[in-house]
Amino acid sequence: MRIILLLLIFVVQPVGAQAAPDAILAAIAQAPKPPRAFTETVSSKWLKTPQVQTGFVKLEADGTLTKITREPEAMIVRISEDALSLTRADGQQRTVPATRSDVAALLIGLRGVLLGDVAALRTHYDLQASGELSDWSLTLEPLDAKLAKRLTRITVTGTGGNIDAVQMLEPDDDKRLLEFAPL
Amino acid sequence: MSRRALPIVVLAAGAVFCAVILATQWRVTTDLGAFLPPPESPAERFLVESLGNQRGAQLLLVGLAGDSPEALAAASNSLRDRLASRDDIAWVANGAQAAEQTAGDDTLLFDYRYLLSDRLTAKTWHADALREAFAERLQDLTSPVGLLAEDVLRADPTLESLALAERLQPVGGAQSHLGVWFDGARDTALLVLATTASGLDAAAQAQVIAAVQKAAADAGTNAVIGGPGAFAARVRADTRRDATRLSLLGSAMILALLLLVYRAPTAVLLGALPLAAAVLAGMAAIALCFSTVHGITLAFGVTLLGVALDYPIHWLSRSQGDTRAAARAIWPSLRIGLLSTCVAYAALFAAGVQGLAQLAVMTIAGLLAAASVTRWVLPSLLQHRAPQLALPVWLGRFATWPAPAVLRLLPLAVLMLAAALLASRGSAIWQSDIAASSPVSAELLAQDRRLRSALGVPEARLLNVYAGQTQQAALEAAEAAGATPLLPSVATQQARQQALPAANALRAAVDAAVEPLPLSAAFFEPFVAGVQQSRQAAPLTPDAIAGTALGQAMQSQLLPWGAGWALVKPAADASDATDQIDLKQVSQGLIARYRGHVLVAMAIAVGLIAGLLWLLAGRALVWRCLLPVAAAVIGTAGIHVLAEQALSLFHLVSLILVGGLSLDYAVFFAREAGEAAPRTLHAVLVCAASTLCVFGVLATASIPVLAAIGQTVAIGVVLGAVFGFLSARPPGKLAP
Repeated sequence: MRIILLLLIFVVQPVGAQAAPDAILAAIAQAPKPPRAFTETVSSKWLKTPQVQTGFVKLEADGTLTKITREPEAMIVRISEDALSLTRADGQQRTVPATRSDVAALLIGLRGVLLGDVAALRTHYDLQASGELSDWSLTLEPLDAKLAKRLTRITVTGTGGNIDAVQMLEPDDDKRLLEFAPL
Repeated sequence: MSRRALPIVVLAAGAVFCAVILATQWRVTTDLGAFLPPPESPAERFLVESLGNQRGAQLLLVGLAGDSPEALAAASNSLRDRLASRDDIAWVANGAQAAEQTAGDDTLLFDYRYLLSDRLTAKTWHADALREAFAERLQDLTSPVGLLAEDVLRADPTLESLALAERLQPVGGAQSHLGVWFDGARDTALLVLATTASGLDAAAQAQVIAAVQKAAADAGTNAVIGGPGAFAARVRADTRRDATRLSLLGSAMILALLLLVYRAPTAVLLGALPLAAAVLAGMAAIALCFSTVHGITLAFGVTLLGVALDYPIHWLSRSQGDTRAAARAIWPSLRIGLLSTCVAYAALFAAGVQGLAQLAVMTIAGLLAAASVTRWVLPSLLQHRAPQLALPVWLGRFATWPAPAVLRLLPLAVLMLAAALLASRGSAIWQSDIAASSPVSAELLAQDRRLRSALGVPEARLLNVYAGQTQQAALEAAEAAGATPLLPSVATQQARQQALPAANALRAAVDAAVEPLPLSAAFFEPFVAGVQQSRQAAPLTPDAIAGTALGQAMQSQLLPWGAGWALVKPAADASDATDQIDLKQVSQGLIARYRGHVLVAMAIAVGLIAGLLWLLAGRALVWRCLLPVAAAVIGTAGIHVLAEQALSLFHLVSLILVGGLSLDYAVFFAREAGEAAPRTLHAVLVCAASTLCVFGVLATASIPVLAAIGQTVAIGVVLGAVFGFLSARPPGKLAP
C-alpha cells in the first residue's frame, strides 16, 4: 500500500511540487528512525527565562516514543498509544492514562507524526501542509475541544522523510520548540 | 370416585399445589442472617449483615499470563473495556484508570485537598519544602504534562489531590507497566473488579467468573482468578459435581438392591414416591411459611428427609400380596416413629433461629407427606401387583434369636463409653471453624495469595473497629488511635484549617521558594488562593460526600455499630488492641451458638419423644426405643472423636438423621415382634442397606462437607440397626 502511495507521489507529482500531508507522512513512515539528539526550548510567561533542555529521543520496537532528557534535570518521558509516563531521576514515576480524550489526542499528535500514521492523525487533527517534499511544513490543529483550549497547533518541519523540528503553540502564546539533530 | 382413586387424586392435587407455590414463592438466599442465630454483639451483626457484601468480599482478583507483556497489557485493556459494561460488575480497574484520572475527575478531592490531606505539617509551608515541590512542578511544566495539566500544577504544587486519589485506589501494591498493573516479575497483568452480587452468592460469582474467562480467552490469554467469589464459585461447582455423581451412583445402587430383594420393578419404582413427595411438600411448606431460605438449610432439610426412604421399604417387606393389608399392618408403628420424629423436629422451633425453624417446617411437612403417600397412595396404585416376598429361612430364625445377655447390654455399654469419651474431651470435640472444612484446594489458595500480594489487597479477616456514639465520635476515636480515616473528623479538619497559613505569609514563602528557580511567583497564585479558600470552607461531613468516590469509600467503612457508629478498617496485622476484631473468631462464636441451639433442641426432643412413646406405646417401650437411638447417636459421635474428627454442624445434622432412622428401626423392632418379626427384620435390613448405599457412597466424596454427612450417617445406621435389634431381644411384654 505504502509502495503504491509512494509510486503515486512520484508519478503524479514531479519532485519539487507542493507536498500534501499524506505524502509527507508517507515519506516519514518510510524513513529509517535512528535515535536522535534534541534541544527543547520552552518559552512561557510563567518562566523568567526560556528553559532549554537537551537529550535524545528514540522510537522503541513497540511504537513507544521515549524522550530522555539529560540536562538540566534527568527525566524520561514515555509516550505510548495509551499512556504518557514520566520518570524522574529519583525513580518517581507517574502515568497519565489516555482515557481522557485530550490526553489521547495529544499522545497521537506527538507519536503519530513520527510513525507517519495519517489515519490516526486525521481523526484528531486538521492537517495542513506547505512547502515541497524536500522541505516541508505540516501543521496539526486539534479537533478535540478540550485539547484545543490548551494547544493551538503543532507545527512540524522537515526535509524528505526527516523531521527537523516540532513546535507546539499554546493559546496564551506559550511555546515549546523541539529541534532534532543526528546523535 | 372410587376409594382407590381418591388418594391418587389427592396426591396429584397436592403435587400441583406444591408446584404452584414453589413456582411463585420459592426464593433461596445467600444472606447468612436467614441461617444463623440472631446476632448478639455489634461485631456479630456486622459479620452477618456484611459478610460477602464488604468491599473486600466482592473483589475478584484477575491475573493474565502466558504472553508477552505488550500482549498482556493489550488483553488487560480489552478485558477492562468488555467487563466494565456488564451489569453484574460494579467496576473494573487495571491500572489504566489510575489515581491521576480520579484526581482529574473528582473536584471534591481537589477543592478540599488541604482539609482532607494527612500529609500536611507546619514544615509543608516553609520556603525550603515548597521549593522542592516547585522544582518538580517546573519539570512537569516543561514536559507534555505541563500542556495537559498546567492549572493543577499551579493550584496544587504539592500534589495533595493526587495523593488523596491514590488513597482511594482499590489496590496498594501493583506496579504500573505499559499503562496497566503488572506483578513484580512483569509476567502477569493484574486486574481487580468488584461484583455487584455478594461474594457468597456462588451462582452470581460463577457467572462473572465465566465472563472474565471468556473475555480473557477472546483476548488470547488465560485468566487466573482469586478472591472470595472465586472460592465460592469453585466450591459450588465441585460440590455439585461430587453430589450429582455420588447421588446418582448411590441411587443406582439402591435401585439395584431393591430390585434384587423385591423382584418387582413397578413396586420399587413407585417406592420413590414418598421421598419425592417429602421433598416437594417440605420445600412448599418453607415457601409458604417463610420469605426466603438459605441454601445450607435446604441441604440440611433434604438430608433429614432421607428417613422417608424407609417407609415404602417397610411396606414392601410386609406385603404378602395384599398391599392394603401391609400398609395397615405397618401403620401403627410407622405412625409412632413418624409422630416422635415430628415432635423431635418441632423442638427445633424452640431455638428461635430462623434456619432451624425452617428445618423443622420442612422435615415435618415432608415426613407427613411421605407417610401419607406410603399409607394411602402406594396401596391404591399397586393394589394387585404387590410383590410376593419369600423370606429366607435363616432370617426367620435370626429374627427370633434370643441374644446372649452380654450382647443385649452392648447398646448401653457403647452409650456409656461414648458419653464418657465425649465428656472427657469437652468442647474440643466441636469444630467451630467453617473454613476448616473448606474444600478450597491448596492450589487455589496459593493462587489467591500470589494475586493478593502482587496487588497489595489485604484479606478482610482482621478489622480494626473504632466506635463512638456519633459518626464524628467514631472518626475521632479512629484518629486518636492513629488510624487516618479517608474523611477526617470535623474537629481535625478545623484544626487543619487553623494551621493553614494566611495569604501574606504564604505569598512570602512562595516568593522565597521561587527565588532561585526560573519560575515566576505568579505561577503559584492559584495555590495561594486555594489555601485561602480552604481556610474558609465548611468542613466536610459524611452526608456531604454522599455519591462521590470518597463517599463510596467511606460508606463501606463508617457503619452503624451497636447503638452508635464505628469506623471499620481492614487490618494488615493482628495486634493486641482491644478494638480489633477477628471475623474468624466472630464467626466461630456464631457457629458455636448455632450448635448450642441445636443441642438444646435435641435435648428437648429426647424428652418429647420419651413422653410421646410413653403415651402411644407404653412405658416399657420408652427405654427399649430410646436406648438404641441414644447409643447409635452418641456412639457415632464417639467414633468420630476417636478418629480425631472434630464435629461440625454438618455432623450434627447428620446425627439427627441417624436419630430419626434409628428411632424407626427401634420402634419396629420393639413393636413388630412375634409373627411379624422376620418381615420387620427384613425391612430394617433393607432400610439400613439402602441408606448405607447412598451415604456410604457420599462418604467417599472429596468435598469435606459431603464426606462428613456420608460417614456419619453410614456409621450411624449400622449402629442404629444393630442396637435396635439387640434392644428388642429381651423377652418382655410385647406391644398390643
